Amino acid sequence: MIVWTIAVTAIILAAVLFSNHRNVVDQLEDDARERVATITEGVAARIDAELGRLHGLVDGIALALEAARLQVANDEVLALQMRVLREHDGVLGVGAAFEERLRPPGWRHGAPYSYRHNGQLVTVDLVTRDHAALQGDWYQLPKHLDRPVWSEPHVKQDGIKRVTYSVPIHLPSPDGPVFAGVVSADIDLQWLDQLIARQPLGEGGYGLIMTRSGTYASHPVAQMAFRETVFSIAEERGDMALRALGQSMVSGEAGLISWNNWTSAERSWLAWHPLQTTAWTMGAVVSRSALEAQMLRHSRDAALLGSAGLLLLVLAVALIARSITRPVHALSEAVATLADGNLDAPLPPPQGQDEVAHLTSAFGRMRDSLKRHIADLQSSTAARERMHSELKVAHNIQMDLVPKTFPAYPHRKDIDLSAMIVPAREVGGDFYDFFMLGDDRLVVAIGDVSGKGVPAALFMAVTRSFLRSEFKVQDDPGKVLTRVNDAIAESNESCMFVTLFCAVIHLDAGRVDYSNAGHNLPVHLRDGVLSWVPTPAGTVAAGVMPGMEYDTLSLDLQADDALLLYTDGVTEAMSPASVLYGDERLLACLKAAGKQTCEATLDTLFQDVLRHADGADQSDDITTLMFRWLPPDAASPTGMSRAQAPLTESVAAGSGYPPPAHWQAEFHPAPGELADALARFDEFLDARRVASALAHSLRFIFEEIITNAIKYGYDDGPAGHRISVHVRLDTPVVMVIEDDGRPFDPLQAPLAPDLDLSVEDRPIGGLGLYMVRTMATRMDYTRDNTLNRLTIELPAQPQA
Amino acid sequence: MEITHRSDADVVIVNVVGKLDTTTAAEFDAHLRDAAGGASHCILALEQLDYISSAGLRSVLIAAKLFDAKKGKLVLSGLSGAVKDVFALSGFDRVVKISASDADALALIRQ
Repeated sequence: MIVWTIAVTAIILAAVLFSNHRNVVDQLEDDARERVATITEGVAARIDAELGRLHGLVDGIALALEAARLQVANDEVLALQMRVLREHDGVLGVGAAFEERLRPPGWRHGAPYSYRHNGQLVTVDLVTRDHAALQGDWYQLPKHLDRPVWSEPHVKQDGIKRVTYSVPIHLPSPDGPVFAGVVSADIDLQWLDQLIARQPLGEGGYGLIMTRSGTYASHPVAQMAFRETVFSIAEERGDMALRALGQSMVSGEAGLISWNNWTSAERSWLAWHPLQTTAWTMGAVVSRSALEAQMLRHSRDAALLGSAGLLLLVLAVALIARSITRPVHALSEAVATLADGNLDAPLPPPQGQDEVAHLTSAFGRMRDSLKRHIADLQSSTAARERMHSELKVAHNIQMDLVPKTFPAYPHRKDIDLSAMIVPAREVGGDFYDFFMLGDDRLVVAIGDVSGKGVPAALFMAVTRSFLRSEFKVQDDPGKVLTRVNDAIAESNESCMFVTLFCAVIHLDAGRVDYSNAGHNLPVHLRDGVLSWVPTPAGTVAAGVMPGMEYDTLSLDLQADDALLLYTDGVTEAMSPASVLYGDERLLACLKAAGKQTCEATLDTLFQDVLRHADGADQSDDITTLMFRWLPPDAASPTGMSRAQAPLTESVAAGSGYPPPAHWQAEFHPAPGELADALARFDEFLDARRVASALAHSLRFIFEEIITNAIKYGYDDGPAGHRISVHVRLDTPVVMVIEDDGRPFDPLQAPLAPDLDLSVEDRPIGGLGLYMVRTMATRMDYTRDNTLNRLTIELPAQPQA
Repeated sequence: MEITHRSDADVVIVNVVGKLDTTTAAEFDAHLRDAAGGASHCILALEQLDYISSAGLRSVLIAAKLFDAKKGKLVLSGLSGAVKDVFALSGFDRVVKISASDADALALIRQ
């Protein structure tokens, strides 16, 4: 800013100086021209005055003689001449001369002339001295011209420059005035040079007097005076311009021209003015370069003054700018510190009432409110994180409880089963469950706990445990619900309750025994005909009241019949306009879906619910479970139930082809899920009729490695993690186990435990890995990004 | 896994059928604690045990320690096949007493 201010100021100043310089130059030129003109005119006037006074004297003598008709005594004339000489230093000599015939009688002198000689005044008779005296110009010119005549300036033997003025005297006669004589005076011109020299014409300037004939009567170059005329010089140089100049100078007009000084070749002005008395010309030369030097000096002074002013201005601007920018800089640094996140950094104290002070205090307010805002944000974030972690706990509980590996029973060609649960953000208490009772009965259950969050999740976990353990005792759903209700209601201090539907499906006959504790009516699907699974009126949710009796009802399935169990998260899903999804749309959707695998049907249903919600917040868990009965003797109804199976060889197995040479499972690292996976693995091993020793080893390795991973591999619980197992019954048999727990290489674990310790000393545990390594013929460990991958080989064995 | 037990004087005979693994070990532990009750000795009849893992071995070890503390004896009987291999492989056959049959086991306790 400072630089800009100064630059602009300097430019303006320079412009002003330049313009001023031009004005001054013009002014000075005008001044100079005027001055030289004035000087010329003034000198001319002075000379005129001087000469005028003297020729007035001469005129006066002439008049007096004329008035007396020349009848004047000789002595009187002499006395008059003497008096003139005495009284006027500028007169060198004065005399009178008459025509001989008109000479007054008694005159001794024909032409008495008085003059100064060695300080004395003396008189001579010119005629006496020289008979031809009256033949001189001084007498003849006035006589013939009949007017007063100024002679050319001249110098006599005494070296004194002079000019002669002669006036004719006339006498009256009957024929008019008759020339009678001349009164004449020699006028000293020495003062002329001095007068001109005194004029202030500056360095290189000079004055000059030029007679009518162009002769220099006065010139600084002494040789020029009386010797040269301007015309003779022009002639000599062949300079027509000079000749023209000379003519205009002697023309009787005043003038002024640009002129190159002859002697110094400087550019000059030449001015001239005519003298009234003698018709001479007064000229003056003024040097322009001297004038220009003066102008330069003037401009230099102005420039110096301007520079000094500029310097002062720079100083002032710098001081003012500093007084503004220093607080701004301080503020900017403080704000930069703020921007780095240090909100406790001090701001510069506001000074005065200017804009910077306002800005500073505004920043102070901003910082304070920022600090408050951050503090608020921190506390609310902490609260949200607390809530979030509670939600996560609830979510984990929920997701860990429900079996999620599908197809659930890949070796059963009579079961198509799928289920899904989509928890709301604030987890509700939905769950579903299914498990086999022996080989012939499948239990399916679905429930919805009142309330949300961790309490609901815990309540759900308890309910599920009761349900599972009761079904181990008996397979009558009504009695199970009765017992579960009692168990829950008994210790239900939080007064929660759960709607429950459970069914035992007898896979041999297709009979379904079921009971309902206040849950939504499931849907029975048969050949595109949909019906609600009938439920006794007035059933109450479990946990509300101990001692409730729940009845068992039955329905018979035909081949390809399906049951859809769901929670109110489906039917009460809201659109943005708060319209419920509803039973009708549910039935319509199922009808439109037609006959698909259970998994596909559930997906279709869920997509339809999502379309209905159209982005509206999901307020409750959406849980569905679907079962389709494919009788064992049915002629491979569609094969579609396996369409979603992960491996093609598994698909083949389900359709009556040889058992798969592959087996695969993926599950969370939780003991319950391990148990489920082991159960399924057992089924696979049975179905494949794997030799018992190999089966034992495979199962042993499976259990040991994964138990170890579950125990030690995870700090943060099973949610969001996975373990996968892949078994290939090949030669050799290969088992690949992957887990995303902490890196662990079982091959690097300490080798054999001390097998010889007694019972008391032997540490419990630690054996598993050792034994796995003993059983395997080969083991490879890799850590692949986040995965531990253990590849184990075992020798193939003939089928049992 | 199915587990039952009967008593013969101060000897409790626990019969285990099926698999003794990480999923059933807890149930086994609990059952054995109940069954141990007033008994001084224990026979684990494992003829029908077709699978055991280290979790199962751990339970057997816990049981052995339990009766050790009572100054009694715990004897395994009827091991066969892969289960027998596991005991051999793990060295447990040297830690706990093993006999071919319940009768032999009873004799071992009474000697």
